[in-house]
Amino acid sequence: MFSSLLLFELNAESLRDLQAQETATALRGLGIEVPTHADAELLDALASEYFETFLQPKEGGPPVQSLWTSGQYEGDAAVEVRELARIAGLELNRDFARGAAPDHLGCLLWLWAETIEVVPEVAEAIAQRHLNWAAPCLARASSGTGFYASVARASAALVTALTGTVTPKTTGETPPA
Amino acid sequence: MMSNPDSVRPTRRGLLALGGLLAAGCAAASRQGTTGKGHGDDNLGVRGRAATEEESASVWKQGAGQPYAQGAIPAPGTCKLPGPNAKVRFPDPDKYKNTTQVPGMCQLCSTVCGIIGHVKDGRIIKVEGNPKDPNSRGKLCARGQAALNHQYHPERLLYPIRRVGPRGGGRWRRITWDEAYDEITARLTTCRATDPSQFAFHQGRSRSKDAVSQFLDAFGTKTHLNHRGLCSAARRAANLTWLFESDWDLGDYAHTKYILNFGSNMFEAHQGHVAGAQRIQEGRFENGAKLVTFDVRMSNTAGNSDEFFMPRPGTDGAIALAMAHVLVTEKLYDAEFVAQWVNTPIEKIAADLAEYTPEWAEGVSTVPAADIARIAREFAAAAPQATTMCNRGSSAHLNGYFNDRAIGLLNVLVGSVGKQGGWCWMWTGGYDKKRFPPGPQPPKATGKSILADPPEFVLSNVWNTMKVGEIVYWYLAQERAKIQVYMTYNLDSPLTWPEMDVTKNVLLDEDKIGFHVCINPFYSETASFADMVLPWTTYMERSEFDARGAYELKPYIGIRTPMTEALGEAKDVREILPELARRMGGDMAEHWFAKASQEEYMAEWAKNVPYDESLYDSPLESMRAEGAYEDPEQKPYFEPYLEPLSAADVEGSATDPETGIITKDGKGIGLLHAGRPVIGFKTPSRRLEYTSEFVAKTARNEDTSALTALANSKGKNRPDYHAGHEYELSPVPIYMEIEEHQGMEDDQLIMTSFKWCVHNHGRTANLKWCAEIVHANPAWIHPKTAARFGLKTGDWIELTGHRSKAVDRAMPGLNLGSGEIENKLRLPVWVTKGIHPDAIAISNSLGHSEYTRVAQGRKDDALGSKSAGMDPAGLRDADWERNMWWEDETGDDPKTFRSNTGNGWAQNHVLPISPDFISGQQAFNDTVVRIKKVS
Repeated sequence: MFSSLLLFELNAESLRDLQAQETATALRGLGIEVPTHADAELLDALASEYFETFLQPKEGGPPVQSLWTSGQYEGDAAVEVRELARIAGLELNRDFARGAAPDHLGCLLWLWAETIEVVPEVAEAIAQRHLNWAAPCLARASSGTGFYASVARASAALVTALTGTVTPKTTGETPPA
Repeated sequence: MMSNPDSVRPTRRGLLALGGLLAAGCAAASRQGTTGKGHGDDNLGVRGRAATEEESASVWKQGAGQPYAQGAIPAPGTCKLPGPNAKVRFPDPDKYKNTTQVPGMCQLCSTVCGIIGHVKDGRIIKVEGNPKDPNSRGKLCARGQAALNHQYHPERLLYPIRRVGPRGGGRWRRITWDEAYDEITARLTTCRATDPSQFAFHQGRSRSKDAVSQFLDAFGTKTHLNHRGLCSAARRAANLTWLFESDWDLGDYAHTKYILNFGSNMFEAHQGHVAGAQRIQEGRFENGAKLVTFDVRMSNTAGNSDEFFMPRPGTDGAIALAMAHVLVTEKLYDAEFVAQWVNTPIEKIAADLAEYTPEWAEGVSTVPAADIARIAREFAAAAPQATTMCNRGSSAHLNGYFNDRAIGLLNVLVGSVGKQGGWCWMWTGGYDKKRFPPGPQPPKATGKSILADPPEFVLSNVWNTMKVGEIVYWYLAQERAKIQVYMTYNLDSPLTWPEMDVTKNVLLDEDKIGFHVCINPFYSETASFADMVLPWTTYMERSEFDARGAYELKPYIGIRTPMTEALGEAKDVREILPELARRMGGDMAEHWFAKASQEEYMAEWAKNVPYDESLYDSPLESMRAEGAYEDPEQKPYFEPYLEPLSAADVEGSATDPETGIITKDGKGIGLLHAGRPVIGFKTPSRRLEYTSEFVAKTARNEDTSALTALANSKGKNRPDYHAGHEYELSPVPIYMEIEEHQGMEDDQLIMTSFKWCVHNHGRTANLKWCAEIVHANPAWIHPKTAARFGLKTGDWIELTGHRSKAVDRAMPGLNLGSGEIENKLRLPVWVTKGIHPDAIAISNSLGHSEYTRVAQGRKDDALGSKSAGMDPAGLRDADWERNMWWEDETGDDPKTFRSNTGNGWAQNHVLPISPDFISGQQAFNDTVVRIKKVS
C-alpha cells in the first residue's frame, strides 16, 4: 500500500479502493485519513500535492536512495537493488511503476513486502542497507499538513519499524561536518 | 486528513500483515519466473572493492593538488581545486574495468564531439572521447566530461507534467503520456485547421533536424524558430557574400603557418571548439604556426596566443581593413590570385582601402599602427599557409557583417582561400546528406511565417534560412504575430534572450501564446513558463546520426545510440513527434508517419555507410560499434574552384567572352580559367565577391534574378516580401562605425560577453563539476576604469543598459525605442588588465533562476538532508551537497557578499534587443551601459 501511495498519484479508482472501509480504517490507524469524496477537483489537488511532495525534482527531490547517498540517479544503491530483485526473481524495469528508479522508496517497500516471506535474505538486505536513508528524506515531506504529508509520516514510521532506527527529528539542525 | 505523527508506531508484525496490500498496489511489476532464492547468488553487493589505504595514498600523492598548489591566482568565479572537502580516498580501483563501451556523440555544446560511454551494471559510469571520431579525435572538453552530471542529475525531469493553476505559478501535476499526447494532438489539429503557421517550434539547439523538419513540413508550418540571430548570423552572411556556397569557414589550422584570430575563443567555446583547438595546437607545435589574437578580453585563447592585442570593442573590421591596406600598398598581396579569382580589379580595391591606414586604425581601435602593419606583413609572408579565424568576438556587433567581410578580405588578398593551411570551407556542414540521406522527407512547407522570416532584415533569409531569433518575442509583444501552439525544445530563452522582461511577459500572456509545451530534460526557466513540460531524453539515451563542421575538410558521419535505457519516462522528439502525427491521423499519419520504428528509420538512414562485412552484419551495426565513418578515399576540400568541368557539363554551354563565365541553359556552371573550364566559385561572378552587386541590390529590393541564375547555388531575394524595408548597403567591405560607441560619457562603458571553457550559453550551469569550477561571473573592468569609478575588486556596481539609436533609426517600424532599459543589474567587479579600458565584460551562462539547485547555486533547504539523525560520514552525499560550498547565503547583499560564491548574474537583464538590419545578428557585444558604484 505504501509503495503504491509513494509511486503513484491517486486516481478515481485507486481512491475508491482506499475508501473501502477496511482499508480506510487500517490507514487511519497509521495516521492517514482517506478523503471521503472523489471529485475531479480533489483528484487534481491531490495530484498536485503528490507532485510537490514526492515528485518535483527540486526541493529535495523524489525519495530515491541514490539521490541521497550518491547525489544522482543510478548510484550503487540502484545497482544493488536491481540485483536483489533479480535474485528474488523479480524485475524492476522501465515498465514497473512508470519507470521509477529501482531504489525509489516505493520500489524498496514493494520489494521488501514481496520477499519477506519467500526470500527473507533479500528483505533483510533491503531493510539493512536500503532504508536507513529514507526517514530523514521523508522529514521534509512529513512537515506538511496534507494527505501526502500523512503518507510521508506513516512511511517514515514504517521505515523506522523496518530498520529499527529512530525517527529523525526535523529541527533543521546541521550535523557535524 | 491530518494525523499526529507521534501516534504512528507500526509494529513489524503489523507491517507483515500489510504485505498483501503492498504487493497488490504494484501489480504492474513483471516477474521473471517464480519467487524464491533465484540464482543462488551469495553476493548481494555491487561489484568492486574499496581502495586500500596504500592505493589511496599513492593516488593522492600523485595528484597532490597540482597545479593549484603552485600559487597561481585563479580568475573570479573559479576555485582552487580540490575544494574544501578534498577527496582523500579513491574508491574501487577496479571500477572502470570490464565495461561495455558504447560510442555516441556529445551534445553539451554544438561541436558534437565523438564520445564513448563506459557502461557497467546497466549504467554509464564514465564518458570520454572517441578516438575514431575524425573531427574530435578522442578529445573531450570539461563539459563533455561532465556528461554523468547531465545523465544522472538528481533533478532530471522524468515525467510529463501539466500546470495546475495559472501559467508561471509553479504548480504542477504529473500526467501520463497519453494525456499529454491527447491534449497536444487536439490543439495541433485545431491549429492546423485554422492557421498552420501559428504552430511554432522553437529550438534552442537541435541535432535532430531531420525529425523536426519532417514533422513541421508534414504539418505545414514554416514557423520553425531557432537562435541563429543570437549566434552567428553576421559571420554567416559575410562568408556567404564571399562564397555563396558556404556560410562556415573551416581554417586548415593543422597545416597553417599563421592564424590571425579576431575575437574567437576557440580554446574555450566555439562551434568547432575541441576539433579546432587541437588543430591549432597541432599547427603551432608541429608546423611552427604563429597565433595572433585580437580580443577585447584576455580569453584563454588570447592568453595562450603568441601575440595578443586588445582593441576597442567592435573595431576588428578597422584593423583588418588597415592590414588589407598594408598588403595592397606594399604589394604583398597575391597578384595572380587576385587577378584571377576576385571579381574586382586590384586598383579599385586599393582605392577603396586608401583611407584605411594603420594610423587611422590605431585611432579607431587603439591597437598600435606599427603592430598592425607588421602583422599584415607576417601574414602575407606565411601565405598561402595563412588563415584568419573569427566568431562572435568580431561578428556579434551592429557592424559585425562588415567586420567579417573585412577579415575575409585578408585571406582573399594573400591568396590563401581554399589552400592547404589556408582559409577553407566545405560544401556541407559536416556529413554528406546526399550520400547518407535520412528516410523520405515530406516536401517543404509552403506559406509564410513572419516570425521565422521577418521582412526588416536584408540578408537573414537570402541564402540560408538563418532567421532572427531575438525578434520573436518582440514581434509577439507588438502583436505582429500570434502563436496557438508553441513547442519549445532545448531552449532557455528567458535566461539567454535579450531583455528578459519582454521574453517573460510574452511567455506569460495566453493571448499571445495559446498553449506552450516545453521539451527539456530539466525544469528550466522556459519550462517554468510552460503549460506542459515533456521530459526529453539525454544525448546518451537516443538514436541519430550527426556531424559538425569537419576540420579535416572531409565529410564524416557519427552516431548517437542509447548507452542505457532512458530514465523514468523520458522520450526523444524522434518518438514524440511521430506519435503526435499518428494521433492527428489523416495525411500526416498516412504519408509520413505510418510506419517506421526508430530502428527501421536508423537502418534506412545508415544503409549507404560502407562497412566491413567480416565484422558486422549491417551498416547500422558497424556504426554502433565504431561510432563514426569517414571515407578514406575522400579528398580534403582544397581549391574546389579549380575542379574542371566535365565534357558533359561543357557540352551545350556558352562562355561570356568578357567575363569568362560559363552558362548552360541560362545558369552559371563555371568559369574559363587559364583556358580551362573550371567550376570556379559559386557566386554570380564565379569569383570571390569583393564587390557584391547581389547584396547591394537585395538591400534596395531590386531584382537579382539574373545574378541568382549565374550563381546557380544559393541566394534569392524577394523584393515584394521586403518592400518598405530598403537600405543602402555597401557592396564592398567597409568600416562601419558603431554610433553609440562614439562620444560616450565618462560613466559609460561598452558591455561585452563571453563564455567560459566549462560552460555553454545557458545549459551547463546545472552540471556540478562545471559549476564548481565556474559559478560566479563578476564584471571584468580595467584598472584605469576602476580608478575612474573608485572601484576595487569585490566592489559592487549597478549597470543601466541602453537600446540602440542606430537600430531604432534603421528599423523604426519595430518600435524598439532607444532609451534606457528599465531593469538594472547589480554585480561585483573584478579589476584586471585583461580587459580593454573602454569595455566591461560579463560572461554568459550564469544567473539562473531555475534549472536545478546547482544552477541556482543553492543547497537543499534545512529540512530533509540536514535533519538530525543522518550519518554525515556515510549517508549524506559528500560531493553533491555538502561540497556545494559556493552557496551565497547573503542574497547578493554587497555588504556581506563573499567573493566566489553564488550562481552569478545574467547580463541579459540590461541587454537590449538589438538586431542589425543586415543579417539580424544580435549585437551581444555593443551595449552601452552606465556604471554606478553601489555604496
